[in-house]
Amino acid sequence: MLISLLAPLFLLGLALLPLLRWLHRSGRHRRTLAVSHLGLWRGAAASHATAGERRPPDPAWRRRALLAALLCVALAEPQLTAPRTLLTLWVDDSISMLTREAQGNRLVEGLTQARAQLAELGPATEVEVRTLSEPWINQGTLTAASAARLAASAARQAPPEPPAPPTPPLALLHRDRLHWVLTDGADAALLAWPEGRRPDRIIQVGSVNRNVGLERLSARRNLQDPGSFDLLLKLTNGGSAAETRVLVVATDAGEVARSTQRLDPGAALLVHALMPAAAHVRATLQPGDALPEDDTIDLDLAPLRRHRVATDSGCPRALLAALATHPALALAAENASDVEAQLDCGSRRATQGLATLRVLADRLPQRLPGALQWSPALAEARHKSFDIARPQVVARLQARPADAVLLAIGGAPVIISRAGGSPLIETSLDFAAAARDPAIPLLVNLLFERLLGKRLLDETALTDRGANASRVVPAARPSADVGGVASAPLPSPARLEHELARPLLVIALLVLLWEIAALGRQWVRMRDQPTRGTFG
Amino acid sequence: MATPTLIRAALPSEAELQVFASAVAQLLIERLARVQGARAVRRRAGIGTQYFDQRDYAPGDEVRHIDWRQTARLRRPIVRRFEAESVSDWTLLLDCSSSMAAHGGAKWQAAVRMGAALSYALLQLGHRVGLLAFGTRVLAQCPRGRGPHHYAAIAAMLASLQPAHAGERSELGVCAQHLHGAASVFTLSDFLADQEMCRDLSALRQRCTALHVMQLSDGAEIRLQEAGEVDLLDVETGARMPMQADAAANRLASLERAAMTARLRRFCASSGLAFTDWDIAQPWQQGLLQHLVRARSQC
Repeated sequence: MLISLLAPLFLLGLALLPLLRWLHRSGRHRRTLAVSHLGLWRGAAASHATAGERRPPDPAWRRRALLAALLCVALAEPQLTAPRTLLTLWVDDSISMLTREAQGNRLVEGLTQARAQLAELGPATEVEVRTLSEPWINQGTLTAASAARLAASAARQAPPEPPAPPTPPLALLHRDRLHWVLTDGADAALLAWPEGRRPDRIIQVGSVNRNVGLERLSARRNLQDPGSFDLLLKLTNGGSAAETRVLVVATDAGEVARSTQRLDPGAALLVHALMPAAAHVRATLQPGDALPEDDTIDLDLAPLRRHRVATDSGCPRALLAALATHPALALAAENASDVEAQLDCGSRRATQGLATLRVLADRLPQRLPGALQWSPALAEARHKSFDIARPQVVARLQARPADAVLLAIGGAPVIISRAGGSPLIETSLDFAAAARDPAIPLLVNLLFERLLGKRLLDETALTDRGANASRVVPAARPSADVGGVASAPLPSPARLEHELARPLLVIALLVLLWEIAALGRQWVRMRDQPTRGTFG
Repeated sequence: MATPTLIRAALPSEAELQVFASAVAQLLIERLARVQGARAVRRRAGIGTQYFDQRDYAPGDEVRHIDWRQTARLRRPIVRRFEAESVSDWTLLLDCSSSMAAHGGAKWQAAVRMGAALSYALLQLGHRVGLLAFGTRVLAQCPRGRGPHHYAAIAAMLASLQPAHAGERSELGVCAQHLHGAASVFTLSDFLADQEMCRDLSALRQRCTALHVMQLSDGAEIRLQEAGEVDLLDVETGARMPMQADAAANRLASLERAAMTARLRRFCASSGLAFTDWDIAQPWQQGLLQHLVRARSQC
């Protein structure tokens, strides 16, 4: 414990304390006693005077000197500093930390070790815990309850999506703190801290070295059969021994594929599979191992389903054909209810609230002079650089102020995105005249992507755990760092500073109240005493 | 010091007064000139209306008292003498200065009780009694009178008197000009003015037939309740004096008071005054009785 002063010059005020005593040299304010005759006491007063007794200063000077001294010291802003160690424990909460070990999983085992090592540092250590998946959230100190909470949280969030950044952010690597890392060492990138920083201590846990996991599962529509999905699975042997697993792919309808795969240590294997369209698929490795969390991988196939479009019998055949061949769109009856968009060619009553492509045709085909002018909002169209050859229009469109003209020919709008509550695109193009134009399917795709607000071609469903998700053996790194304090010098201990000025001011306030009370008592005494003004 | 309050002196009860009056009756009757072998009689010649005897005329006798019948029979001037009345005039001088009110007013209360008792006893014997309360000046005066009704007037005046708590000094000499005719004077005071009091007593002695000096002493006036550094305040003069209050100071004050009393006692003895130092801790009956006995023996 050290006391430091921020403004020591104020201590010079203490030199005035003798002056304060000198000012009280005339003695205390005496109590007055009324007597019948002063002559009776002259002898007593004379005896004290002749004895050479010096009157002591008014004892009140001590109280006032204390008040002045307290104020001087408080103005000097003293601070009580105590050495304190600040420490951040970075917890690797990747999926590999859930590997079963002899005493629970690696995370539980590591947190237990960390608590034991932190206890050796003593109570002057202030610990904060952060996880690598959520480094900006301070998990608080490391207690039994917080350790259990961390382990449960890691189990819930496995597998992480997307994969967490492997290293702590530089902004949190304060140089006045010790930084410890709790990890199993499976991801070497975890120790590659920015600006060459290194952890002060690495608490490494884990002894299991065999694991095969499903790293990634992706699906896309089969190009030949829109009713089927192509699956691509990536298996990784994250252990140190060759492994053989049976890969089972199943949907809600049942198993769709099964194969036996053999993987060398550290090797990855891509497995293709074809499955009928479904809403969900799950791949499983059999038999299970110490890390069951990566033995199963699920994939939601909802993004791959086809969007149903209600047709209109009055629409041009070229338009209907383009819709029918679109891999992400499916034609539905005019009166179907489970549709996401509709065609309105004037022969049916359009449903309100649905995304609608309205094809207008109220005049004879007419070829407009001028070049095609694509809206900047359709940058995709310019990139694709598809142009409709010799386009004709069969209606006249008028753009309102809030509308967006997607395509114009010679200044006349041809495709307009109407402003309003539900998406509505109106076009005056003559699809019948452009039936053989290869750009029509792409134009239809472009219009429905805008109507539905999403990309319709090349959609892929993916679950990816990252390249090191299944790795359970430690990666190679300098042996000096393993299980011990890093060679880098420890940061100087931080100091816990307590402001002493405030308690001093509180004490000064109490002394001031004491002084006020004493003066009040004195005033009351003097008020009760007779004064010369009342005589005679 | 506490806030000044009225000091109300409780007068002695009627029974106490009667008992005391009967006890001191013999001490308050006019003394007769006694000769050897003579029988003490209470009757004597003097100024009165009751015929006593007759004798030869002497120069200076009242012509109107000549008994012409006897003068013609005896052929020499004979004057009649009348029986002297056994009553006389008394004036009580009561110190009403601030020092009498100090220390709770104990001295004032004692003085009032003694004055009332003495007045009652004198009035019971037929004397005429008057009362003067003095401080820096004569503060109140009750003319001499006679009879029980007059006691009521004196008692009412005593009950209404109230010494000032501060600033009222003792000026006994101011009473001299208020004394008329032959009268005995009984002074009740603490006589803390010392030399001034002796001077004033000398002045009074010239204006009365007999002067009684009753000094009231209170132990509290020479004993400070506080200890340590104090400022003493004279309640009469307002003068202040710092001092260290302790047992030694109390002892010195006691010695000073004793010296003052001794000086006053010597002055009274040399002046033929009846003096008594009455410690008010003693009953007033005892103090007054001792004084009257002492005065009887001195005169």
